[in-house]
Amino acid sequence: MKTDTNNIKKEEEDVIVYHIKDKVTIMSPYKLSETEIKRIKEAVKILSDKEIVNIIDPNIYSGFIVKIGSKLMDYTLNGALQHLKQQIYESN
Amino acid sequence: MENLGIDYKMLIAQVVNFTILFFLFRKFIAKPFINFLQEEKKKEESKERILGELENKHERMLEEEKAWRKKIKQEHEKLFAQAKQTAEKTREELLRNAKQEAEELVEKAKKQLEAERDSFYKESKNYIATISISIIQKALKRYLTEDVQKKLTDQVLTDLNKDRKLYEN
Repeated sequence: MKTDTNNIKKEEEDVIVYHIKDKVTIMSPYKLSETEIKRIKEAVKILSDKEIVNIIDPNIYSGFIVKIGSKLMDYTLNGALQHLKQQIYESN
Repeated sequence: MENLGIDYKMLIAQVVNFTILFFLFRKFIAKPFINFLQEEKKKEESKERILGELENKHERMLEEEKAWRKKIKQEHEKLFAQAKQTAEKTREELLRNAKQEAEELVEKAKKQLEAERDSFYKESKNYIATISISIIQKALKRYLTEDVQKKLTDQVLTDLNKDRKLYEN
């Protein structure tokens, strides 16, 4: 009985992981319109068949961050500024 | 002979007396005196011999002393030269060590200075970068309205699509 319960639990977890992997979060400073989400899907091919969840993050100046699992694709002004900061720091 | 006044008996008696006196003189006075003189002579000779020996010994000792003094002087000079040489070597070694230590200290100080300068330079750069970005962020916060944000998002998407098309071609 105990083994059966464990197996069922594992199968459920696998399903949840599958759904999480299939779900993509896009963080932006304002709520993205359907057109914008569509354009994002067009630009980033791997998002075409994924469910998109839009989260509003007021700390983002502009642009958006695509989060797939643990991976992040940063298209924000914050990222560009961080990159600029790094360049200033690394310059002679 | 009697006419000449010579008395034979007296003469014989005198001869006997003289002979006795002669023998007695010889036995008890002359011989011990000669012996005494000989003894004295021997003593004098012995004294002279001892004195000569002593003089020779003294001269020998003087020569030995002279040689010894010469040897001591030579040893002293040799030791002095050795001590001088050792002192010179020690001085040179000390100087060399001091010079080496000084050079090492200078090198260490130089490296430390360079490290501190590099650290200060890095910190300054980091500070400048942070300040610059902070100023930009503050300015952007005032400037970035939702419309501007949308325009920028649109620009990002346009660029992304352009890049994708370039990549596909």
